[in-house]
Amino acid sequence: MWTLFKRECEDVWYYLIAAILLVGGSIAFFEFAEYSDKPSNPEGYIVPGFIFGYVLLCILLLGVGANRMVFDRANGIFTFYAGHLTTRCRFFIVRLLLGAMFVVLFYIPALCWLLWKLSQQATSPPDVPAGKLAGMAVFLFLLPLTGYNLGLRMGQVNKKIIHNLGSICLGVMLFSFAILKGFDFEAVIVLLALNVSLIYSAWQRYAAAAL
Amino acid sequence: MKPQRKLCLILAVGFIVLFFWCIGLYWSNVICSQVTSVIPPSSISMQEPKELNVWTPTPHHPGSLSCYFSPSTFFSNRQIGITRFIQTLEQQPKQEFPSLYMDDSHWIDFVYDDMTKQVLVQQTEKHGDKETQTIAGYIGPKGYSSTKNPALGTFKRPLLMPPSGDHAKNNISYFSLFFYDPATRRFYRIEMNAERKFISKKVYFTIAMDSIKVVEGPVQNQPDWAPVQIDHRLSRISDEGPYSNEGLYMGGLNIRWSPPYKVIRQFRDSYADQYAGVDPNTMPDSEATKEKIIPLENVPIMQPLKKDFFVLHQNGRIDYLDGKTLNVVRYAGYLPEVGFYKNSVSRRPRDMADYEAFGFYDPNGVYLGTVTAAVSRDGVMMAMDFYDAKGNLSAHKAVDKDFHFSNKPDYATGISLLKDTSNGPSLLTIRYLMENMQPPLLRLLDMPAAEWMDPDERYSTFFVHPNSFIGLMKFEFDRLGFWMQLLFLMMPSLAIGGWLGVKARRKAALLGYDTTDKDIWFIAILAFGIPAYITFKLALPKERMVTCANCGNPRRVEFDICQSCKRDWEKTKTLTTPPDWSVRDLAKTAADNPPVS
Repeated sequence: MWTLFKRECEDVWYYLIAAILLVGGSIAFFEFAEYSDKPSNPEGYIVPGFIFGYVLLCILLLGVGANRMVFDRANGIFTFYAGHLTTRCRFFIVRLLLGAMFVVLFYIPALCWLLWKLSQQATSPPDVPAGKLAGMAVFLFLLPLTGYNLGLRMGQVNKKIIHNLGSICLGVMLFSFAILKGFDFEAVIVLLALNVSLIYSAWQRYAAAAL
Repeated sequence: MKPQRKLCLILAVGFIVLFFWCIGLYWSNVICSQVTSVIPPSSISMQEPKELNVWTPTPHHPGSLSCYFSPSTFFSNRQIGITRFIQTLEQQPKQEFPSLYMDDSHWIDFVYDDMTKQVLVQQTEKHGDKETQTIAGYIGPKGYSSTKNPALGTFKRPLLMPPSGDHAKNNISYFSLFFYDPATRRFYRIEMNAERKFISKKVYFTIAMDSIKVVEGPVQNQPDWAPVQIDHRLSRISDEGPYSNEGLYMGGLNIRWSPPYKVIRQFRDSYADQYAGVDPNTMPDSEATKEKIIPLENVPIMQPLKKDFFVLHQNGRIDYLDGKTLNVVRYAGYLPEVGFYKNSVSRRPRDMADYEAFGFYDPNGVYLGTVTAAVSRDGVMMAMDFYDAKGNLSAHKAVDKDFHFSNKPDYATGISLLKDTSNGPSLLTIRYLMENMQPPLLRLLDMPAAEWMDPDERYSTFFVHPNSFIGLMKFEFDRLGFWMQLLFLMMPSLAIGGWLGVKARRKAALLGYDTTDKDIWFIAILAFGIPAYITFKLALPKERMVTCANCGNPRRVEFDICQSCKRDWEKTKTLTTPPDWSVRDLAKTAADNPPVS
């Protein structure tokens, strides 16, 4: 399993670098913008800065997910389809772990940065209830994960045009949901249900694919 | 695939389809609501002396009481999702109780604590960027203590009220905080001596902690006693209570009182600036020639109650609470009736997008009456009432079907208003059709959702739309008209569901599904409409079909009998007698019959 995981990481190394650049770059940019504009608007860049990097990270994860199910290395052979069911199952679990790793690696530092910045505000530290903060953290974790799982599901569609268009449209709609629902408990439940449905549906399709 | 797995897969795919379908429906619903709510006139007004009759007016210069509603404010301020959260972060959070500042780095907050169920006196000291908080005392129904003391008793999620106090006295002020405890049905007042001082135009207090005491009011045993808000001036708040983080909504509804010019000049600085130094008697005609000097004592003042409170109940009733005796002294009035159609007309604050209530006084501080105004849940209908000092309704204004102002509550519904405007009917039809794209089963859930949710929350609902036509209906199961209206509102969605269900049933029959499966698909598509049909299409097996020799319909190759005509495969004829031809073994023949030399 570990070997498979390493192989997956090697396959997506350029995505990993892109994610590092994305998160690091957006934080640095908004830090700079905040620094240069400090006297007039000290707080205006923090949350938008986080949102900007976060949205791009989610889109990137959608791409990674779709990529994992469409392309595979190993000399151009779809090794995904070449194995028995047990091997496929391992592949699938590894790919789920890869998505979770992406989210943890790039979302956790970004969230810590956001919370640190908010706690640094000299005037009126935001009085956010603990429950709301927890809801926000869970939601922000689940949304990119949903993007990744949506990518996995869309990657299982054989027609690539549909896959590409669908990824874009459904990704946009997913963000529409985020804008609509925010961080409440109901949104977390709905996202969890959507994640389970996406994973189950992608796995069934993948497991049933012809050898 | 095993049947159970297949069922799980279909449910998973169905949920994904429903999820994305509901996102599209949500935004269409928002757009439709927004478009319809900007059509009605944005203000209504009552003119003195015809309608109000609360003071002796001058003949030429009546004042007017107006109620304005701004749908754009209504939509922009009720933020949704992430936007609302960001707004919460970026705005100064409001305190549940006020902060009393000792100096710039030292203040006291009064906060209700869910753990101890008492009101905490929380001291905050700020050193640089760091703030340290300590609890200076605990307040329960029985009194105040500087240490944790269960003997003080507990409150049960009290309704909080804004502060009240006599700030006018020199330096020494008697500061009071009020709240209502639903468990004991009593009002409480926390009193303290607060010395007030001005430092560089800011107000600071020195509070004697020992002087804090709790005054308990009498038990309230009135019928229909269910307070939802207590304030000097009533207006819509969120579920979290007034002065909380959620209470960011600024209000799209505003009541304004426009007394004659002369009074404005003396009361309002902005107008005074505009006409500073100008003698009213020398102004142009439009401004002052018709105006007479009006003695101020004859002109009422509209303002929030000072030391007293309005108590708003679940059913829309408003009582007048004496801040001194902590007892309800009179009935002040009701919120106006508003609704989209007759079946949805309501006075309950829960059914309103926004409401306002103000007190009317004469210049000596004698209570003259209350003005109340409200906007319906969907932001389309608006009405304003005036109650005199005895609580009698003395004037009512709402928008009637002819787009004029009327005092006939029967006509005061939003649908009658929209029907008579130029684009109203087409917009109503579009909204009606768009709402029918929602799955029928979820449409039925709109009604209980509207019962449970505040109008604010309509932007947060996902699978249901509490502000749809069905959501606005009241439960009246014993009335035939209710069922007829429900049927009319659901007809297109039921028709679409039924048609697609029949289509799917035929397709399923063609593919050889058994009767139970066919019925389940039909019912599912009837209940969940288009998303269920999309799921059905996605779940169709990719079977190889051949044409049946008997009926001509496609038939599955793996079935023994045709699923349409139940005919078996046509078998090839079995040979019973050996054919009259045979395969010859040329080598053997050649060996048996050697060539004759």
